Formats: sequence, structure tokens, C-alpha cells
Amino acid sequence: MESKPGASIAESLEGLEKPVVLALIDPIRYQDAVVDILRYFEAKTPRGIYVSLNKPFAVLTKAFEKAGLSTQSLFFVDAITNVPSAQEGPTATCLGSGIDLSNLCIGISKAINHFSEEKFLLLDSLSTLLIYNDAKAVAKFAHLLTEKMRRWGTSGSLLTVEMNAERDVVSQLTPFCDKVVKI
Amino acid sequence: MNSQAPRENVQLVVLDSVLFGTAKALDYLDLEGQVMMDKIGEGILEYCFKKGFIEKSGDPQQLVNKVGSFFAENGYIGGAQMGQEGELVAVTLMDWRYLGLMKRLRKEQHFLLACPLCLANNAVFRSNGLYGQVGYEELTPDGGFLRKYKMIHATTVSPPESLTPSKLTNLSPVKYDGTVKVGAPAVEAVMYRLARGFEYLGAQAQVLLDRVGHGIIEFLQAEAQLTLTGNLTKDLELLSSFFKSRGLADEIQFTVSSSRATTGFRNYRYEPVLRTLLEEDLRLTSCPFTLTERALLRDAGWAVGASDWTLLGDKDAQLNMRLTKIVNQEFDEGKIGALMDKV
Repeated sequence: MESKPGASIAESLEGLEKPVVLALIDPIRYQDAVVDILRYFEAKTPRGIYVSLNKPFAVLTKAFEKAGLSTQSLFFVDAITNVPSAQEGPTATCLGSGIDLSNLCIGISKAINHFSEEKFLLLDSLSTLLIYNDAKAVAKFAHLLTEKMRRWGTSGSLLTVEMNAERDVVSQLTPFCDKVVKI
Repeated sequence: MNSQAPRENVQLVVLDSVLFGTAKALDYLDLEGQVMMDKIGEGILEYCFKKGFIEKSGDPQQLVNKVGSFFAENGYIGGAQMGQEGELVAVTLMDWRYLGLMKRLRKEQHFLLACPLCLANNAVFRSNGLYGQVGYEELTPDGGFLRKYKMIHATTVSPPESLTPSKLTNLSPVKYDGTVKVGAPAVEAVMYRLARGFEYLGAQAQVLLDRVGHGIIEFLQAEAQLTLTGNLTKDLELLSSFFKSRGLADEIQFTVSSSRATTGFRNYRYEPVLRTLLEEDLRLTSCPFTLTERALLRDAGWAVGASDWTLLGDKDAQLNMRLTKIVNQEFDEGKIGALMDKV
């Protein structure tokens, strides 16, 4: 089910209790869109896991704080910062760049246990995974993650930037998400 | 005029292949694709200011003139005349090197404007709250190209009202000549911004750059009669030989193993861009050979992971890329799901 063009995230997801959303982001609006979607989930859920494959968590933390978002309630899974081996800190775990899908899954599972309260999960983004992986494998990964999110009772969103490379993954993943929103 | 004389030359086909690949990669965005292209114009200016090729000016008209002089000195235009016709601005460009590329793009129904001179000027206008909406164009009898623009209010992210003039010009008299020499500074400025232009997207910008790589190959096959064989090593040899002969470097050598691809460049014309990008701690690069190399590796079933550049002396460089075979890549949902449950 796709959102209506021009609808806000809140309007698009109205009535959904713990939505698992596929967010298709206009590349021109990428930075604003990420802030918008994070703001939406932060307003609904006290804690969040932010899986970043695009920008180091230190960069994101600054950007989110600048946009007026609370980063105290977030725990980052950073799969872009170069580290010789996985490192866990109080606000983030760095898995290393170019990590394979299996280890990313394990890293996300560990991060989910970081908070005992209700939480959301944002994965930024499927587009990046397509650089390092086959589209079929990315679709399977995303399917497994949405399944786990439901089992964990976690709302959230898998982000993908519309760059014409992700069409196969989007079409395969759409049935497993509550909503596809275009931002 | 404050721009410097070109130090070295690169054949036009190198620049055109990159511009074609970029326009094609962004074409799916339609009108918004032009906003992304115009962002390349912002970076062209930024690079030219940084390197002292163009002196900054607060007067947009003066700056447009300086941009014109820079591209003229680098062989991209023979000359330009600007005039006012009522509410329209009329610009005639002589020996405009973009025409061949425009013909190719239009032949494939791509209408994004990719001329670096125009992109830089669009950036000047946009930063002053204006946009030149093209309304009319024609080939003039003396071999020039006339375009008439209506200046409209715009921000840096306003899409144009249309990508095409009221009537498309018949470009059949235009013959493509990719052997024309263009000054390296003009090529550098485009390459620099291509690497930086999508930086705000983070690592996923590589998806767009990889699409540019595929577009470069397509252009070279269409306009430079490059015939690829489907054999990775042979095709890389063809491309390295092509780019070497067109002035990208004096020597391009590569090795590909099952886990790593290494490419060395001697007297590399992209080196000033690369050095600047590395000094700015940027990971994305836009060398046309390495973009095509990535594209061919992907087509052969390899994903490129961590990439490290090393600058060797003044004009030499080496790129190491980690490779992962992704053909028939396995992802066992059941097994990994069980592991996730145990965490």
C-alpha cells in the first residue's frame, strides 16, 4: 500500500500501531527526509536503534542535534566507520565498513537488546547494501529484518533512496511492509 | 580575466563521456534531475575559486563573464555573445563543444542540460534567485548556437519549468568530434564536483556514480567506436588503452585477483582532483577510468568494497579496491534468523 503523493509521514501512517515502513526517499530531499522520519518515530516511541550504512554515527549525531532531534534516546549501529574490529560504546556499536549481511543481522540483534523499553528501528539504507551485495540477497535480508521487527514488537522503517537501482528490492519487499511511503 | 592558461589538455571525449553518464544517471528524476545537474555547476565554481581559475565576484553578470572566459580559455567555446531581446536573454555560443554531446543525449531522449559552462552559469543565477528557462534555440548560419532564455525566479532547488525549448533544433548537421582538446582545468572542475555533488547522500552516492560508470561505457561504445568483448581483462585493457590515448594518464596499469583490484596511473591528469578530494577527506572519486572499471567488475559479478588511494609523487597514483564475488551470493534466512534469535 503506497502513501498518497504529498502526504506527510504522520498522515501516511495514521492508524498504524507499530508500523514497519518502507520509505522511498527522493535523493534531492534525502537529508531532510531522514530527519522527518526520525522525528516521526521519536515522537511515538521513547527509544530507537539507528542502523547507518551511509554516514558515521558521529556525523549523524551532530546533524540530528542541529535539526533539534534528541540523540540521547538513540543507539547507533554504525556499519560505515572504519574500525579494525567491532567496537561497542555507550551510544553506538561500530561494526566496520563493508560488513557482510549476516554480521549486520547479528549486530542489529545485539543492538535491539540495548534498550529494554519499546523502541523503533531505522535502517539507512537499503541503497547502500546494493553497492556491496546482490539485489536478491538484499531483498532476503530486508525480508528477514521486517520479520524480526514484528517478532520484537519494533516499529520502524527501512530507507531506500530512489536511484533506479533498488526497484527489484522494493517490489519484493512491499508485501512485507505495512506501508510504502514516498518522501 | 583572472583564469589561468590551461596547463595540459584532455580530449573532449573524456569529458563528454562523464557528462553523458551523469545526465543519463539522473535522467529518471526528470525536472529534478536538472537541479542535481545544476549542483554540479555549484561545484565547478567552487573548484575554480579554490584553484584560482576564476576570481570570485559579487556581481552575477561579471561572474558569468568570468565563467565564459574560463571555458573559452580551456577550449570549450570559441566565443560568446549576450544580448537582451525584450524579456529574453539571447546567448550565442561559437564553437560550442557541447553540441555533439547534446545531439547524442537528445537522440536517446535525454533532455537534461549537461554543458559544464551552462551548469556553472545556472549555479550563479540560482544563487541570485534566478533561473534561465530556455525558450528558443537554433543553429545559426555561421556555425554558432543561439539560445534564448526567460529569467524566472528560482531557488537553488527549484526545478525548471521545462527541460526543452519550444521547438527542438535539428542537430543533424552537427558532427561529433571527441578528439578536440579541452584544457585540463575545465575537466578537473567537472570531475571534482561529480565526486562531491552527491556527497550529502553518504556512501550510497556510489550507486549514482556506478550508474555514471555504466553511462560512460555506453557513450564510448556509441561515439568512440569502442567495442567491448565481455571479457573483463580484455575490456579493462581496451578501456585503459583508450583513456591513456585520450590524455587521462600516460600509463594505466591494472591487476585483478579474486579479492583485490589494483590500478596504477602515471602522469595522471585526474591527480589534482584526487589530491583535493583526499585532502578534504572524501571517499568518493570520479575518475572516468575507475568508474568504468567498477562498472565492468560489477557486470562480471564483483562488488567493490573498501577502496584506498595512494598518491605517489607529483602526478602518479594507485588505487586498491577490495572485491567480493556476489554472483549467486547466499543469504540463508533460516540459518541467520536462528542466529539472531540466539543473540
